[in-house]
This record gives sequence, structure tokens and C-alpha cells, in this order.
Amino acid sequence: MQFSDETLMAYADGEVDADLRRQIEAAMALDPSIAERVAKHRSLRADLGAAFNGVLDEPMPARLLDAAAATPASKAATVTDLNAARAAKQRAGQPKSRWSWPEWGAIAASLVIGILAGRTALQPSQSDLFASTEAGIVARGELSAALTDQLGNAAKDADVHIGLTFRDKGGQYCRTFATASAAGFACREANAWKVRALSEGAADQQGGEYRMAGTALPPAILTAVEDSMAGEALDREQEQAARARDWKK
Amino acid sequence: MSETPANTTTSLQQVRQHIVALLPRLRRFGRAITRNAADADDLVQISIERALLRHEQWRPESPFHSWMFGIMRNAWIDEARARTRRGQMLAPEEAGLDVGDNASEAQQRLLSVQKAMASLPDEQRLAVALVLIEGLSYKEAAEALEVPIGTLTSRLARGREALQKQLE
Repeated sequence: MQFSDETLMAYADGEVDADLRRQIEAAMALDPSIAERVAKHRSLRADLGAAFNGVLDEPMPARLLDAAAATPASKAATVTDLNAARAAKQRAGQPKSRWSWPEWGAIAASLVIGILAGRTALQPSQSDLFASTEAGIVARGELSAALTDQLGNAAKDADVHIGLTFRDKGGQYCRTFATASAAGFACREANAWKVRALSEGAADQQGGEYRMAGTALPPAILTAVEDSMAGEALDREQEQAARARDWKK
Repeated sequence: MSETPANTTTSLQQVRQHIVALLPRLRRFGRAITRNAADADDLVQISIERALLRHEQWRPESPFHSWMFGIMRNAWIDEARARTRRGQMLAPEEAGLDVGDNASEAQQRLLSVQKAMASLPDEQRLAVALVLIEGLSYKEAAEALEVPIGTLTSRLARGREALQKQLE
């Protein structure tokens, strides 16, 4: 069967209905040239991602955070705002530091709640704990280690606190976590901890309240957990058994 | 956080939260369409100001990113027009993209993708940036660009073809 390039493009972008998808997949299995055309569309997407994703890990200019926190300018105030914008720009021209959490705290205690829905959502700024991959955001470093090894509500002095462990509706194991500056939950998928929900910058600077208990998670994260959870949270014994199986379903 | 904006303050607060969560992606979209890092952040800043000013126009039932990218697209078109009036050419930015002779093959690839992207006509570049870089659905991208889906897909197809040709 023949397909137009536009149809194969739509297929590669996940924009065709189930019937057409099955037809194309059947044709791909029979005709490698069709599969090749689809692969070409997909690799262009990957190339573009590679070319532009770098900015996601760059420090956020203070002037953009200032702009988001500013009171909307009325039209009458445009002139003074241009000056303000210029001043902000000059500040931003000074040596930039990595987004610091105390700065976040100053903006507003609970300003940033991001729920990750698929691979295109919020990109976390703490790159030593998170990695952006083709499949979405995954935990790395200390966070990944804690999710794999730590039992819930155990290590009081650890940098990463693990709270609840539960299964999602697909049967995968998920665990809530909190660090001094971020909280959320991640699920075990294909040997990685995929971050499903994340709230950054909301933790109390002094108290580190997210470390205390599962219930100290931000409400938006708790809602996301409730929505994902199938059945009850695991108890200690079930948690240990799941860990012994390396969190495989 | 309440789901339904009870009043103006709530919806302004919601718009702010969405903006901050979306900031890294706004910057990425800016880079993809302006060809230049400084222009990109200027564009993001202007768009944030516009979004806050018009926060009441956002309808929570439609995706926030479509609305926000739409504001950026309009701001970019305004800027492009103003520059044409001032007689400034919108030449693809070459400076700053040069990483020298030691660039790895992967870096070279990355640069040629950026250059190819910069060479596209605005309307194709916007479609490619929204769908292939920002991951919007055709419907969302068409909404952001205020065009019918058929127009979006034909721009996307032409943009893709041009990119693939250049990158072969």
C-alpha cells in the first residue's frame, strides 16, 4: 500500500487514528522503505531536540523570573516599565549563578508546582538529580540511588527522603521522594525511575518540611499520587520484597 | 490551589505559576524561532509581560502552553515587522554558533541542525518548533498559530522537507 509523505509524517508524530496506524504498521512490516521514511521523520525530531534542548539546563536569567513575579504593567505605566526592564536586563548581564533555592523562596513559597505529563512537561533545573531523556525526566545520582535502595521513612539524615511506595494502575512501582528543594514521585520503568510529578522550590528553607513525612508533600503532588495509585500503599514487608525483586512488576 | 479561578487574583496567580513552570521551554522555543540567545530571552520577557497583562484571556479549559506559545508567536511577528520597518535585516545568526575546529561530530551536527532551522521561513520554523521541539499536538500547535490544522500540517511538511534536504 502507498502512503503520502504527509500521512507518514502524521503517523511518526502520533497523529493518526488507530485504523490508519494499524495499516501503516502492517505496511512497514512488509516494506522496509516505508519503515525507513518513518524513521527519517523520527530522527529529525530527535536531531531538533538535541540541537535545542541545551537551553533547558542553562541557568535561568533573573530578569525572566522577575518578569514572571512582577505586577502586570498597566498601559499608562509603559514608560517607567521600559526603564525597569532595562534595569533588570543590566542586572541579568552580571555574572549569572545557577538558580539558587533561597532565591526561589523569595519569589513565593509555593509558586512552582509542576506536574509532569509526558515528556514535554516542565524541565527540572536541578540537573544533578534529574536527567532529561527521550522518554521524559528520570532520576539520577543520589535521587536514583535513594529510590532504588532506601526504605520509606527510614534514613532521617539522608539528603533524599523516600515516603510512600505504591503501584500505579499499570502495576509499576512508584515512590514519593523529597529533597531540600524538590518533591514528587517517580515510577520504575525500563530500569530507570521516571519522574511523574515534581514540585520544585516549594520546600521550606529552614525546616525542610518535605523530609518529615509523606503527608508533607505539596497538595498538587499528593493529588497526582492519589490519581496514579492502584490499591493501597505498600507496607514495610511488601516494600522490602519489591526492592529484592529490583522493583520489577 | 483551586481549579476554578474564583476571581482575577486567582487567575493571575495561576497564570504566574504556569509561566514559571513553563519558563525553560519558553526559552527553548525562543531559541528555536529567533536564531539568537539574547533575542530569545528578550522575546520571552516581552511575552511574559503580555501574558500577565492579559491573564484574563486565558481559558483554563485550553492548554496553557498553546496560549503562551501563541503570545510568543505574536510578539515575534510584531518584532520582526518592527525590525523590517527599521531596516534591520533578520539574517540568520552566525556569531556565537561557532565552536571552533575542535567541535566533535555531534556538535557539528547540532550546529548544522540549528543553522538549517534558522534558514526556514518564519511560518515553517514556528510549526516545526511547536510540534517537533515543543511536542505540541497538531491541534494545539494550530491553536497557538491561529491557523487551521491543514495549514499547520502543510507548513510542517514543507519545513521538515527543507530541513531533511539540508541535513542529508
